[in-house]
Parts: sequence; C-alpha cells; structure tokens
Amino acid sequence: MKDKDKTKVELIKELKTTQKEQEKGVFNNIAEHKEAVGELKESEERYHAVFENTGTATMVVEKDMTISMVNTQCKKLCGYSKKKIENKMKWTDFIVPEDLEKVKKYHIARIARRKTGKEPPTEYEFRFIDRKGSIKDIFLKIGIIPNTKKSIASLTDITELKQAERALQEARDQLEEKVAQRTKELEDANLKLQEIDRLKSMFIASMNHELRTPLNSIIGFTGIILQGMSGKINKEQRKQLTLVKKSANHLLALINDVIDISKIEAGKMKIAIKKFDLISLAQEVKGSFAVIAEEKGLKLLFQTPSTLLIKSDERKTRQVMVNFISNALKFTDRGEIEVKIRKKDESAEISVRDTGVGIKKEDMGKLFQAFNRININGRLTAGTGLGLYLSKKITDLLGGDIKVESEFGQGSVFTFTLPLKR
Amino acid sequence: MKRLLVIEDNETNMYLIGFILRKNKYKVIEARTGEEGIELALKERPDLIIMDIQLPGIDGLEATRRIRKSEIDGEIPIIALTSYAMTGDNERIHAAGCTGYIEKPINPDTIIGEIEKYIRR
Repeated sequence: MKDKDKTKVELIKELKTTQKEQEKGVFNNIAEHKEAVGELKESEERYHAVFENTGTATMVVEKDMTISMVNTQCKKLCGYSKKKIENKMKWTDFIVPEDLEKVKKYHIARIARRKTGKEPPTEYEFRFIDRKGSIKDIFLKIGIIPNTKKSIASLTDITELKQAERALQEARDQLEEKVAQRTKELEDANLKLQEIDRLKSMFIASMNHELRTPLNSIIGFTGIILQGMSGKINKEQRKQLTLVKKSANHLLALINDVIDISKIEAGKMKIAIKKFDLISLAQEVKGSFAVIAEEKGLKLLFQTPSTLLIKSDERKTRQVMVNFISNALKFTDRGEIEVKIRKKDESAEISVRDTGVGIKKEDMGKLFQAFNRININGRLTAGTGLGLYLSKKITDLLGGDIKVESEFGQGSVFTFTLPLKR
Repeated sequence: MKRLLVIEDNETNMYLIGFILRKNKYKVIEARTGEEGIELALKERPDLIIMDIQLPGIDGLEATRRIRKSEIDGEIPIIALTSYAMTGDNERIHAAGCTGYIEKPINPDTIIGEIEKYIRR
C-alpha cells in the first residue's frame, strides 16, 4: 500500500505510536534523569559520610586558600561553626604567624611539583592557632583532588607528641650538660689524685732522707770512736758507746721498716724481678748468721738442693729469709735451726724450723699484724714488731704464700713459698 | 798513697768519711757540689770517687754521666752513696756509669773493706 493510500487512521495510528514512543523516550529520559539524580544524591551522601567519618580533621581547600569544606572534627579543631568557616575563612588564618613563611615555602614547592602532573600528598608540621588563641602542633597531609583546583587536607593534632619530643630533647640536653660537668669533675679529681700521688712519693723520699741523715753521724762517729780512731777509750766509755750504737742500729731498722711499709701502703713498693739462684742467696744469708748462732750455742742447719733457679726479687726474698732466721734465733735458746728449701710444683718452698719457745694458740692470729711483739716472761722481745708484717706483705707482692705451724714449748716452722716465675 | 775524691754536700758526712779515709792512709780530695766534683775528677784523676747521689744542683747520677763522657784514658771507679729507698733503682745507678754502690748510713766498721774492692790498682 502506498503511503497516500494509507488510511488516515493508519497515519494517525503511526503518529500516535511515534508520539507514544517519544513520550516514552521523554519519560525514559525523565526517569533516567530522575534515576541519575537519585544516584548522584546517593553518591554525594556516601561521599559526605566518608568525609565526615574519616576519623581525622579534614578540610577541602580552594586554590586561593579558602576553606570550602570542613568535617565536624575539623570544625571542632578550628573552634568556629561550619557556616563561619566554609567559603569564608582561609586556612592560612589558622597558621601561627611565625610559621607562615615555612608553610608558604612548602606550598610553593608543592605547586611546582603539581605542574608535572604527579604530586604525592605533602606532609609537614606547623603550629595551628584556633579561635580561642590556643596553639597546637599540627601534622598536615595535603594533596590535590584530581581534575580540580581543590586540595584536600587532613590535620592531626600532635601537640602531645611534640611536647614529649621537646621534653625528651630538654632531658637530653640536661643530661649532656650533666655529663660534661661530671667529666670535668672527674678530670679535676684525677689531676688532684695525680698530684697527691706525686706528693706521696716526694714525702716518702724526703722522709727517708731526713730520717737517715742524723743516723749517719750517730752510727758513724760512735763507730769511729769505738774503733779507737779518735784516741784510746776506757772500758766504761766502750760500754756506753756500744749501747748508743745498738740503739742507733735499732732506730735504723725501724726507719727501714717504716719506709718499707709506707711504700707498700702507698702502692709504691717496686719489685725488681730477675733470675737468681735461691741456694746461693741462702748460703750468703747463712754466712751472716753463723756467728750469732755459734754465740748462742745453736746449730744452724741447711737442707737444700745444690741449685734452684728462681725468677723473683732477690733483695725482698733475702728480706723474708733474714726475717725468719733472725726470729728463729731470737726465740730459741737451745737446740737447732733448720732451713729447708725445696721445689714444689711451680714454686719454691723455704721453711725455717726451730726448737724454740713456740707460739701460743691465742697469739697465732696476731702474728702478722704490724707492731705486734711477743711477750716472754714479762719482757717484750727486741725488734720492731714489723718483721713478719712486712714478710707477709712482701710475699703477697711476689705472688707467694706464708704459713706457720707451732707447738708452744716445742718450736715453730715458718714457711714461705714463691712462684718460680714471677 | 792512693787518692780518693769524695763528692758530698753535707758537712758532717764529709767530715765523717774524710776522717775514716785519712785514718786509713788515703789522701782525700773534697768536692761540695756535682759541678766541682766533675772538674776535680777530670783534673786530679783520683784512684776512686765516692759520689753522694743526693746533691744540690746536678745530682750524683748526672755528675757520673758527665764524668764518663769526658774520660779518655780509662774509667775511674765511681761508688755511689745511696739511701735505702732508692735501691729499687739499681739499674739507674749502673746505667749512669757507677761501678758500685754503698748504702747510707755508712758502717764505719765495714766501709774500708767495701771501698777497697773497687780501688784502681
């Protein structure tokens, strides 16, 4: 059927259909439109909910620094109502003036980077001033919203953190100051100690010299006179001068011992280690006591190997040996004194046995104390009372040991050991 | 007659040593300071020198060193007079050039014997 043949009815029908379709189209558009609007609204509400509930104070900032949006937390931070802030205030209004320069620099750098298209959120700290004028330390993270000229920023109150940081730094500074102070104090104390030490040495050397000088004269001139060098002397003069000489020698022994003790106590006793033959030394000492032993009618026996090499201080070893043997001779009136030397493991053992008066059990503990002298029949024994004390100290210094065994009325054995290699 | 040089600053000690030595037929040359001692040692060439370690000015060890440095024809025996406290320094005394040492206070009974061990024949 040709178009002109189409009945009017059919044309109207077609028209009505088209109209209906158009209306449907429009209706669809409207519906779509309504749907789109609804979706948009939903989306906005979701977005708004997210914005409100990020948990951090957040604001949206325009290119000219105006704050276009704040969430509730941010509004609280600022201290103003949303109405007062949004689109009215600039976020720079909340920056403490002294920090503005710093923030501007960051801002400029940020914009420069923005031109490259890629720009990670910037972070920095500044001091925030709210409506009341309270200053808080804020940590800011800001980034552009893509395809807009807006930025979105989150603000975290780090005031407490900053305070803790400052307190820590202050504590550190104080500590450093204290350390510097203490170090200075220690240095000063050290200098003082060195000075005291030097004075101690000088004192001992000086005392030693001063105490000996008069003795030179006393011992020297009594000796000269007793030898008859200044002329003949009678019996009485001889007797009296001999007493003077004995006193002088006793005084000398005391001075020697006291100087020794001073040196030990001041930590200034020097040891001279070298190799020597212990047996040769013993023979020499034996020789010097032979006369005294004979005068007292005592036998002086030695039981030793033919040689025994030792690495130690010869002079101090002699001192201990002499001390033991002279003690033995002093406290023995009859019988014998036996000196035994033998090698025992890595040490040399030197023992002096006597058949003398022995030592009471209650006196054993005081043996090695300074100025301790035994009382025999109401008389103090001759000597300085320092011999055994020094022997103990010397043996300790040389890395050795002392021991005593005694039976009151029977005799004693004094033994000291020395390491073969000091 | 053997000639002995004694270098000692203490008057009394010098008198004491001098007395003993002269009684034993030695000629005694006296010096009161280290410097004087060095001068006399080189000029007089004694058979033995007795040198007190503690001297004002240059001490006995320094004087010994200088004498040793200037000697050309053999060494004169030098005996150091020491105090007990210093005997830890035996090495120092030998290192300075001393031939031997005697401890103060001097024992008048034994000093002659001790010296005669060292006197130059």
